[in-house]
Amino acid sequence: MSYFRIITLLLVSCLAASTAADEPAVDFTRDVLPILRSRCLECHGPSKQESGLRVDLRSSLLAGGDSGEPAVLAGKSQQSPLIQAVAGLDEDRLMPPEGAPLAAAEVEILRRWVDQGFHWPADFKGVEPDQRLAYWSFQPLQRPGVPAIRSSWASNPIDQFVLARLNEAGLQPSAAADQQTLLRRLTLVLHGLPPSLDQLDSIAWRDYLVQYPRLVDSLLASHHLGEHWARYWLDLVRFGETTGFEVNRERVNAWPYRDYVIRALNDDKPYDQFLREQLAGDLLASDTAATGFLVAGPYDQVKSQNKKLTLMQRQDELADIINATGTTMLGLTLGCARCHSHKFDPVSQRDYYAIQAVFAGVQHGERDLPADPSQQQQLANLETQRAAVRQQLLEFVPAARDKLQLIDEGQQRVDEGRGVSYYRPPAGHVDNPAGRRRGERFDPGADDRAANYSGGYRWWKNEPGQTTASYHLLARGHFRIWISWGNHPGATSTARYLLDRDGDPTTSDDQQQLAVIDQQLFADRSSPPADQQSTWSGFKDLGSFILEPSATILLVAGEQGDAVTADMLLLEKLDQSDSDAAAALPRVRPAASSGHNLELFQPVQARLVRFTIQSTNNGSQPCIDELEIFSHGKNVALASSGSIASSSGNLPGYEIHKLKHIHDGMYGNSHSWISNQPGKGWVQLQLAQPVMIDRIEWARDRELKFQDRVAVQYVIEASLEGTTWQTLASSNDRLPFSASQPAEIYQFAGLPEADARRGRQLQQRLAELTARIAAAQQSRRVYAGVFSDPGKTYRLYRGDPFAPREEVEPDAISAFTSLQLTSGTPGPERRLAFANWVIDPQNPLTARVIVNRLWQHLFGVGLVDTPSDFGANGTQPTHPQLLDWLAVELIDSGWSLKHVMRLIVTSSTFRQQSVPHSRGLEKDAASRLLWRYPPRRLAAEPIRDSLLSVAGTLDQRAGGPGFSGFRVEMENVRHYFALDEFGPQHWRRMIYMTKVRQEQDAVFGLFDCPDGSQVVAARSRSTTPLQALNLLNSNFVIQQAGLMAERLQRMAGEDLSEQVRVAFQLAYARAADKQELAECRAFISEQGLRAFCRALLNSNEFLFIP
Amino acid sequence: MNTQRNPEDFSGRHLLSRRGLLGDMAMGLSGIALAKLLAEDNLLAQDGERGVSRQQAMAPDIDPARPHAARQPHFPARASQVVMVFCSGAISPLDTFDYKPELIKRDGQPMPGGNDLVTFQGKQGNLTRSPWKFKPRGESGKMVSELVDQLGEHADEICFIHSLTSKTNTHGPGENYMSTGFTLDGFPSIGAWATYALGSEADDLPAFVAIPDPRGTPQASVNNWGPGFLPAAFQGTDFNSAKPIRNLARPASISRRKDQATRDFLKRLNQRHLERFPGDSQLAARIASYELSARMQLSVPEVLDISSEPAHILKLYGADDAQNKIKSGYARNCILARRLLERGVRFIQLFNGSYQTGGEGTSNWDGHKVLQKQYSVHGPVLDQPTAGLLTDLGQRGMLKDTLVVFCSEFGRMPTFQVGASGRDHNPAGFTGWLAGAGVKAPFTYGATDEFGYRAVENVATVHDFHATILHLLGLNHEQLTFYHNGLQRRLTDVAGKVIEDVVSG
Repeated sequence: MSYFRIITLLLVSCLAASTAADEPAVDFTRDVLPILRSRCLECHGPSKQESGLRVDLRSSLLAGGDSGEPAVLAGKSQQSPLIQAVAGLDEDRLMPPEGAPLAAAEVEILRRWVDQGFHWPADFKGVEPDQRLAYWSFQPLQRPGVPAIRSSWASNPIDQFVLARLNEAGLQPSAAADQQTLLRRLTLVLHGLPPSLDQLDSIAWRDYLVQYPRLVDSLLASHHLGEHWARYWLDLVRFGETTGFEVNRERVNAWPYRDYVIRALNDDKPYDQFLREQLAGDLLASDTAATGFLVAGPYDQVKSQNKKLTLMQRQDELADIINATGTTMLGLTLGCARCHSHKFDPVSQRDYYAIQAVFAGVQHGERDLPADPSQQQQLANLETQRAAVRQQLLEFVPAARDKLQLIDEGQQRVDEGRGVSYYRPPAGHVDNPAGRRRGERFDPGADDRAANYSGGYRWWKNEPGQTTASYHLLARGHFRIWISWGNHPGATSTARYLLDRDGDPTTSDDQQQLAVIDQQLFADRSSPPADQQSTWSGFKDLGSFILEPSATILLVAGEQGDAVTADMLLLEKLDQSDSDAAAALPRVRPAASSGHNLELFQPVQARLVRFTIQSTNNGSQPCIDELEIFSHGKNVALASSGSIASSSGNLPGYEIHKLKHIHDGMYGNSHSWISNQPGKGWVQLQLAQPVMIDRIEWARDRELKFQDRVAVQYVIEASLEGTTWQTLASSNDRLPFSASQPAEIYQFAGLPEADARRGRQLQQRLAELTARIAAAQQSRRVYAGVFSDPGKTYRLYRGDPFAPREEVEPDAISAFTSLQLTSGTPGPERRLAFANWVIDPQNPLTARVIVNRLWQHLFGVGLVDTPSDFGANGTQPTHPQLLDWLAVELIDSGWSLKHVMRLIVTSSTFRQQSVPHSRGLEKDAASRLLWRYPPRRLAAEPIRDSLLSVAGTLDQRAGGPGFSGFRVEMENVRHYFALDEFGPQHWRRMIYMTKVRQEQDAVFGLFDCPDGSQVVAARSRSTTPLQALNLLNSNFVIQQAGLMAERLQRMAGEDLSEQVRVAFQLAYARAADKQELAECRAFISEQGLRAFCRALLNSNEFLFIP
Repeated sequence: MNTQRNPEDFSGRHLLSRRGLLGDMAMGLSGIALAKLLAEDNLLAQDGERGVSRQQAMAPDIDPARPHAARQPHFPARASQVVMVFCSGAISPLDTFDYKPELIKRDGQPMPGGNDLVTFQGKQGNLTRSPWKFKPRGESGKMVSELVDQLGEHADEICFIHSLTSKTNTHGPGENYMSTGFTLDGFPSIGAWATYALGSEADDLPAFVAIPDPRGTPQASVNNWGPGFLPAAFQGTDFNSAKPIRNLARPASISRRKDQATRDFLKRLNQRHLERFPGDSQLAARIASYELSARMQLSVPEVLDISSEPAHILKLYGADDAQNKIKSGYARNCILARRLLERGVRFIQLFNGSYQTGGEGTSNWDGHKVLQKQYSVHGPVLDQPTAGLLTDLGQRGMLKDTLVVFCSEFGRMPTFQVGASGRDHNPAGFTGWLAGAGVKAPFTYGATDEFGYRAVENVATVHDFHATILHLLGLNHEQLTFYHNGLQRRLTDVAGKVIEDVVSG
């Protein structure tokens, strides 16, 4: 057909359409259906669907055939391929292909029908129903009748269904397993652990019918149930704790989803609610980590600059969510419809994109959860405890006294100020050695000596008799002088310290020699150990003096030695009451820090408090994030308490640094005050009323992100009325600021040992509480997806993001339902509507799929052995009626999974023995009909957990962040190296081992552990020599075998028979027979217990569910 | 017939396709097993309604007790073993095997139509000729660069495919695609597919071995040799002399005698247990696996012991190069590959280049920034040892049964990046080659455009490349399937066409 002719026809068609409003309405049944019947249905009807298209189904016309291109666009006849085809607009695709074309009037009816809105009677579902919908799994659920079979064997309806099927096949059920086998089977399938000795002992086996259900109930109530069964769910939802793909980064806050699943299973959370929370929990009152489901899969973080590939990555992300949802919850492989309509199931390509629109607002990422009430309560409790501990610790904060004055040797004198003058340049500065021994840099002090305040000293080559340095004291009144020095190699033994009262070293009549010091010794004249040098001397008391501001202390080099050193000097102001003789060690306060400062003082009555800054650590305008003033433990400085702030000036232009932030109750740089003057400024708070205050707290940035702008020289004063001021605290008695040596707020040196010990315990408690609070706050941050505006969704031709077709509104599968959503529906509501369809009791799939999974994990294979595919490409159930009966039981029980599990494990079917016989094997090799209980090898996790359990080393702590089985190389592309050496920190259950994608645990990964990259509904169970080598030779197993041997020795002493008895109970849950006992005894006496345990832990009986 | 087959040993689905079995009684199943399977069929019935049967899957017949036993291919194979040399980091075809005189002529000029080209890292600069000279090789006169001078001398034995294309320009997904047929993680690798189909001729060595580069593992790491959703039995085992198989050796703390006594005792325990479950193949399979593991403890150190190789062989591969430790390490890996092939291992992946350490391109072929400097390091590591492997396989007559595959995740641009002296990623056209069993040589298939940017003649996909490799192994890539999560999965997804032209007549 020529291009020109198409245009002409389209024009004609458009003209015709423009008059459509005046035309009589087309009726589908009266006008359209006869045409479809006579001209189309032979090839595009119920019996035959050329190109996959059926014209008697609305959904098929909208979805189109195999191409995925819709055959009809409602209201747009000229763009609808159906009309184009019957009108012969394209000669190559004229329909019908044989026989006469449609009459013009017929074409006209169809055209009008499309243009008038493509009306379709609601009850018309095709001339015959869609055969695909006739598939067994899509039929409505109905409770089937229980086969009427009289049998003493059957103990509940499950058995009657099973027995009926066995009878048909000419088979009989097996005898019941013995009780120990049954107990072991139960704990392995319910908990993934062998029975404990207590469990073996505690069962009163005589009254079996009473005891067995009780045993089942107690096992169903254990938290081990969730820890074992969560693994199945996590496999299904491709859960991993790294991103996967190239960089494979850690996903540190993914574990709360794992704990959510464990908790949900343990709490027997109704299954419908469980699903709804995972799809749309963010919209529910109880928002938890459940939506971690949506983003549990891998995520490609490496985005290239090629837009096409980036769009494809986004399509892959959404496909991952759709696929996981379809296979996990519905047992449908929705992902197949991404590029073309599903080949086997009634899922069109359009359906796929309608579901994509449901999830289009979901992005990978972390979000903060609102804390649930119990969490909030827990957090509040922790905060209260911490406040109490802090209160107790206040006694270990040196009080701010205007009594101490430090002069550091590094504080060189400027102009007439306080500080040190050098008479010649120092030869160098030496750091005290790192360490905690006396005089080392981190020496915490003791009851007879101060902590190391110094950190390092300056030294000069010794020139005998020369004045080397002078400390300018600038003090008036009665003071004690403390001096310190560095223990330098070759230091002089005769350094002299002189008091020079007029400060003029050339005049000597006013000078007084205070001490001759051996600088190789500590202040108490003891000698540092031989391996130590460059330590700090500690303070030596030079005596008390009445001083004038001019006074200096001169350091004069000694007669002997190669070097002379200078370090800190401390002035202690003495009151009248202070005796000259009793010189208790002074307690110097730590340096001001950026993160937190405490000022403790004698209680004073105050209305005004002024904080004046004289210098900052880097010379910039000072910053204070919050100034807190305490009265009886309560902060009275808050604006909300009525206090008023004023200042010398505020840094202009920054909303985050306004004056109001000084007392807004918020910490951190983003809520702070900054002065407008470099290095100085003041800020004042006027309290609502005069109160007794005894403590002030302040910081530059309590969130610890900034370390500049710290006030290092300051004074804090208080006043009642604003005329007379009293100094509360100042930087004078603080150590010099050091960014590299963070200040310890609490000081224990110089205290009686008992007090110091109590203080350190409190400090440790504080650290613990702080860590727990951080963890509790952290746990609210969860990798559970972030939600954005979903935007528009288009059907993509062949899945190509560069070939968008018509816009698609959010919906579920059109053959089943319509969610009645529009493109204006917000993302979370789309997901909630979709979830409500999934869990609707009328949904034929959801309940069937989950009860089949329960059956699968209790028997090894499901009634349907394609557990995530209930579509036409899957297999049929072996016991269809049983499956439906269980599904109805589930719904009727309020979606209780434990109810169904209880039904199954209390059935006679489950309780059969597992011994094979040839008749059974011949008729049903795989035991699918359940003529016996099918035995099988344990999966990786239960093997590891069982090993730890029998060795007695299993760490039963539940929940929280996991442990790592890997050493991580922190390259851009992460590399994980499986550990070879293990300790108690690795002995929790394997569900708590951080799930690293792509990499496997060194020992157990080879036992068919999926790595979380793909959804896995049924693990394979392969047998390889490398598995054998891992169980025989790995450090992990050798170590546990050794620990099991020790346990046996503890429990059984040297009695070989008793050792064997206990070992068999632990590993096999049974007694050894005579011959076994003899063989085992012989082996132990020859090769030892460790070798015996190594063999047991490798044996088939230990590794199989019996 | 004493093996009971539990289909669940391998997956949620029967590994043994009934249709395949009925179609080929010669596969060695006795009548009783067949009867069992037929009985099962009757139980399940309505087989014809299932989608699977429409696909004519020919899943292999696997004995759970001996999953690695050698199996027959779908049709007579041209090659029975494969060694796949994988140049990690994306080796540049334009500096090795894809000769473009136009690039020399237009060196320094903008690429026509290339103005707005955005690739992985950003803007492209001008066309840049290779720093290495190309020269004609052998009788065919194939132009190969001096960077791979000794490989070039094998040009007459090689079938070059210059028109490969990839779906991605990112390393991780690119390696996944070349090794598994999917850019996403979690799919079985080509070696896993091959051993799933064919088992192995070596019963005391892993059927599929991945040999990591001396510098470390490749970008996508174990994905390259992972089993995906295939049973773990078919995953690659990665080792070389520097990185032995984990837990292979008995612990030093346990004497040989005690170890043997413990194994004997374990066997007794297991046999007594088996007596209580007569005919259970899962239990028998585990017992067998312990016996095999003992044999592996002897055979793996033996195959790794390269000291038994004569001096002229070490010299041939460059394993004696004391100056270049990386090269001699890779050369030892090449010798190891040959020794594994000699002992019947089915599939070997031999890596050249590792993941990124110390910046782009320093430890692999990712030459974004300083291509000449870095390739001058990598070229000699690759060249002599790989050429030595070809020579050695040839002189031993092993190329008759062994297929040698040379590949990389994608290629590199004919331009240099703006502000750098290297080439960006290019998935639009790159070179791989085949040599050995069943391959037409000397032969060149497909071509890129005049600059080597885009494949324009006989454009081939990685799926086609895979389909061809499977074809040479006697496997129909559409019939080699495994049921996973609702689909009969294939190495070639839903695509792939055997490149018939490269198969020798």
